[in-house]
Amino acid sequence: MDFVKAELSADGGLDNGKVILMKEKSVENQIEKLKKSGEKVIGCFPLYPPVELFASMGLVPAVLWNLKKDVENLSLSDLHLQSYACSIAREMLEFILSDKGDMFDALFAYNACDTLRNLPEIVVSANKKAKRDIPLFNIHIPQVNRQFSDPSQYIENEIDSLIKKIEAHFDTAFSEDTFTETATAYSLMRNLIQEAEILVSKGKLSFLSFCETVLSGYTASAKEQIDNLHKLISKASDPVIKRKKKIIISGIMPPPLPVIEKIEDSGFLIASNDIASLKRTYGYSPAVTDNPGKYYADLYENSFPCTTLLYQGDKRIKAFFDLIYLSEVDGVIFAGEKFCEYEYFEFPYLEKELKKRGIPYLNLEFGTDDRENFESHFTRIEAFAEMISMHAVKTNF
Amino acid sequence: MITAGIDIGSITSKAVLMKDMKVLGFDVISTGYNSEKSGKEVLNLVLDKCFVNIEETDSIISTGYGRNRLSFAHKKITEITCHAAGAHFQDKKIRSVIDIGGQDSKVIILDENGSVTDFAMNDKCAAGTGRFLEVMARALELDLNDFGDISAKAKKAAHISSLCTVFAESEIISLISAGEKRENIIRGIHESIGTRVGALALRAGLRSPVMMTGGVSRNTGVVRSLESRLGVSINVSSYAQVNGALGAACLGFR
Amino acid sequence: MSEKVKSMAGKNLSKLMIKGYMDLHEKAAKGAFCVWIAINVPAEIFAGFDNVVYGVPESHAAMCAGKGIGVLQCEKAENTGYSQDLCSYARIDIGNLTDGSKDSPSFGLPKPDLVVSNNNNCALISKWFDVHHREMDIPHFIMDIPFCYEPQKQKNQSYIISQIKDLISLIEKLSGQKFNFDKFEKAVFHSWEGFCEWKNFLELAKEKPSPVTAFDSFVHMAPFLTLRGTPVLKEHFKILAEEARQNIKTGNLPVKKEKYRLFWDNIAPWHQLGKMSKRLSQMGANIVGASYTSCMGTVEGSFELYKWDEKDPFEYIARMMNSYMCPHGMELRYSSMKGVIEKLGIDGVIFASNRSCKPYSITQMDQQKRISDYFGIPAVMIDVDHADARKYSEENAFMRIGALLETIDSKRKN
Repeated sequence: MDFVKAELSADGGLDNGKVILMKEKSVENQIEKLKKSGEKVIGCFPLYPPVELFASMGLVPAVLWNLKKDVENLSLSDLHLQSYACSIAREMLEFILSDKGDMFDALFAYNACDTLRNLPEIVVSANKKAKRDIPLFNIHIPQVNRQFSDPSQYIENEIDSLIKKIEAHFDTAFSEDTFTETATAYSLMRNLIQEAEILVSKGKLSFLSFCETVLSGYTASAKEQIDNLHKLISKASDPVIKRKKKIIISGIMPPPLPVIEKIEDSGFLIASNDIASLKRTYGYSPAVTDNPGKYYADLYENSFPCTTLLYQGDKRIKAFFDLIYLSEVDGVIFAGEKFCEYEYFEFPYLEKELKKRGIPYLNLEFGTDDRENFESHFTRIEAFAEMISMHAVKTNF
Repeated sequence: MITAGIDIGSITSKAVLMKDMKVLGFDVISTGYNSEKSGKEVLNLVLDKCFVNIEETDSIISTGYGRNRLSFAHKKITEITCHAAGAHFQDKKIRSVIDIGGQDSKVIILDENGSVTDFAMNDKCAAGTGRFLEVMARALELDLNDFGDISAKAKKAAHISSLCTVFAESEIISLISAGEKRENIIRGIHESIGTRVGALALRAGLRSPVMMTGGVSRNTGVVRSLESRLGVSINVSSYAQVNGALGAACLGFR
Repeated sequence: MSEKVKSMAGKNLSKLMIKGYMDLHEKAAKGAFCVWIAINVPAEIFAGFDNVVYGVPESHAAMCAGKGIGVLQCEKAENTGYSQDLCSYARIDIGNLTDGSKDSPSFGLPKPDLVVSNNNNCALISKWFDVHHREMDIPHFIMDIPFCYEPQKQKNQSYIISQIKDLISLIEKLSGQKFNFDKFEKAVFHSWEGFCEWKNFLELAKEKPSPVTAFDSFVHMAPFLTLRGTPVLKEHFKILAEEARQNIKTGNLPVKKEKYRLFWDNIAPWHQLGKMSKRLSQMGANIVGASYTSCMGTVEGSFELYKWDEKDPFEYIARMMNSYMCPHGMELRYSSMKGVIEKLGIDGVIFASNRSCKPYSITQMDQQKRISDYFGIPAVMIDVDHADARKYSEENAFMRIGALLETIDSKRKN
């Protein structure tokens, strides 16, 4: 973890676990480092790839969530994707098709959304044209309602076929023992993230440093990430300001780091989150088993609910309001991903229910263009903070 | 007690000076490249006008896009809170404020104390902002200030359907070449803005009475379009353009 | 399209659609079990029950857009917080329900007892139907159809059949009615015959000039959505084909001086059918075919009729789940389109990039390049939205179409 260490010291110290000079780690550097140490890397399309399985078969999974800082423009993506595709898809495609894409030993995709299911063929055909031979593995994750149909056998077969493809391509053999070990490591990792999350909710760690660590873990091995999390947790300290306004943030990705910083600086404490790349990823660990088919049948059924897993609609709404009540929040911030219709179909219902319950919320939206200039987001966040505090102090004029 | 409110917008900078909750004076200048400089300049203008020394002011509050760039301000408050406070100062009964600015449009819901209870702002798109009007004025080669009067002559509204500013501009160009009367086109433009801002108002949960602030509120055509779409009558703030600065000055008394 | 007098087939279609909606409302009012479905859900299974009717929100939304009230309905949904970036069909449907369908030409659809979505032609329809599931407190069955990059695999066909059977059990449980296989089989047979006749009709587009224009075909697809599994399909498409044959003889053609034969890729621009066909016809251009119309009755990889051996109806309907709207991979869509472009002698292709439909539109940029490279014919991309006229610019679109025609001209000169 030289990279993280070097960066922390260069930042000139820490305040309450928060890196003062913010610098998002580049995914490219992280993958480069893995490659230099002789690792094989599989680039995974978001949102919930079977990372434990890849890791157990000698492929470090890099979940390609947030590549905004890694791509300067979208010139390659623009040859293939219309501008109304979401920023996640466009930035990922740009990264994969650029020279940086050479670093991947394999790619993985599943039917995560209507855009992501079409990307594999675009990537494969562009790579073929560029005479680049990177295998792309694909599985179908069933979306049937569990109360009417049982998809576990289908999932087991899909995982099984994935294993066979990896074995054939990399001339390797799946091992039940290694899978058990890897699943155990990931479970530990998720537990540590949850431990850190509690510290954030108590104001002992900043959400900013929490996000930085968790997100950089998407391009690292579980072992490395466990070390990072231990370091993060060791930085916890007593909160400077005790009483803050508690909120949860909901969305596909956390807001960009400068926006998170603004949220925290405006006096908000992020008591919890309902974010796909955070809570919905680390919120649940299946019981460790040596059978990956059973493991993933469990994971996809019981994971912390996500709007993109179609059968979890009801559970998702319930989980959202449970979070609000358990965390006793003063408000909610939605970090919308422009063009992610999954979220936007549920949003009006959540909005209506929040209004009914008298819980204030703020709707932010982030897209391809939100790289540096966040002024208008800052205004909304400040106004939201003023609105919540004005309810306590009445104006008299 | 004397307070000053300064609103640094993307196009103009405004300052309002108040003494014991009464307006002493206000001024408006163009915002130059340097927000700090514009803020100082507009404040000095209004101080001179009212024969007040800067040392006599008890509180200077900045708002607007440039609010964080005024080093001499004692406090910085967003334009959302300030517009609510400004409207509340003018009329205690006001429950909603519609503000169409150059960069964004907002609908603010306030309670009997003038506190914001909810607000909604436009999304990334420029349609429904002052910018949209500017682009259309350019396409029509007309002065934006004349839009309200010209549109009053319209017999009907030309149909402008596009949501996208670029598409709408090309629609207008084809309306011109098809010989559509310009007053009808302008009425159509106002309807288009009314639809967008009207949707925002409905989402925010608009409550009456409604006050409209910001430079666009002086455009009677936009106001009429919003009134008919929302089925409410809209009070136009007599301090339209300086309402944000007025609210900031009011908040200095807190 | 351009003819002033309504065609025989056009009259028949109006009659069928009006009767269809009236029957639907009447039966539902008398207590029939009502299901709302996504277009790809095999509606033939409902015919296996004595008293189950179905409504198709997508088709209803297309009708609203065609009748010019798409924007009005969309705005109602937007006013209640639904983003403008959502599919315009969904916004129309949700908007329509905000005020008891008061503006709908068909008085909306009767209130459902069950909604059934299908995530293949659009995963988001499951999110859309969840809105109804929550608002009306009714069950929502999701048909999970694995996306195909290769022709449908046996494992997926079996998986789909097992879900169809799960759906039948659910309806039996909820409605208290018993499923009758024979009636279901008969319905599947009716659909199959309908597809055969439809293909006979579309084949006539090979004629030069063509008696077929996609603008008519788009509209005549409606019975495949709302009257699936009924004998009227065969009857109607027979009338349609027969009239087209007559028109060849009498010279009553959609574009009399057909100079350009074009192909359309995407859902129909429902709000523009009249305007667009008129303007194209004045330019001597006819959209003789479309992937949207050609896919009916076919399976992934080819727009030729998929021939059913008339054995197992479950197998057949499961096999057809990738048909409507061609929701499958880029290679397969390319291969289908290649075949039909060759067959119809197409001069140029319009890729309608549809903001409301990512499943149809993503991959179009690659497809456009491939088609132009392979055939050496020009292809343009225009921005449309299938049901929200506010996201379409006629000038912008026709500038590109104009350029397309000019390119065809200059190629001919060389």
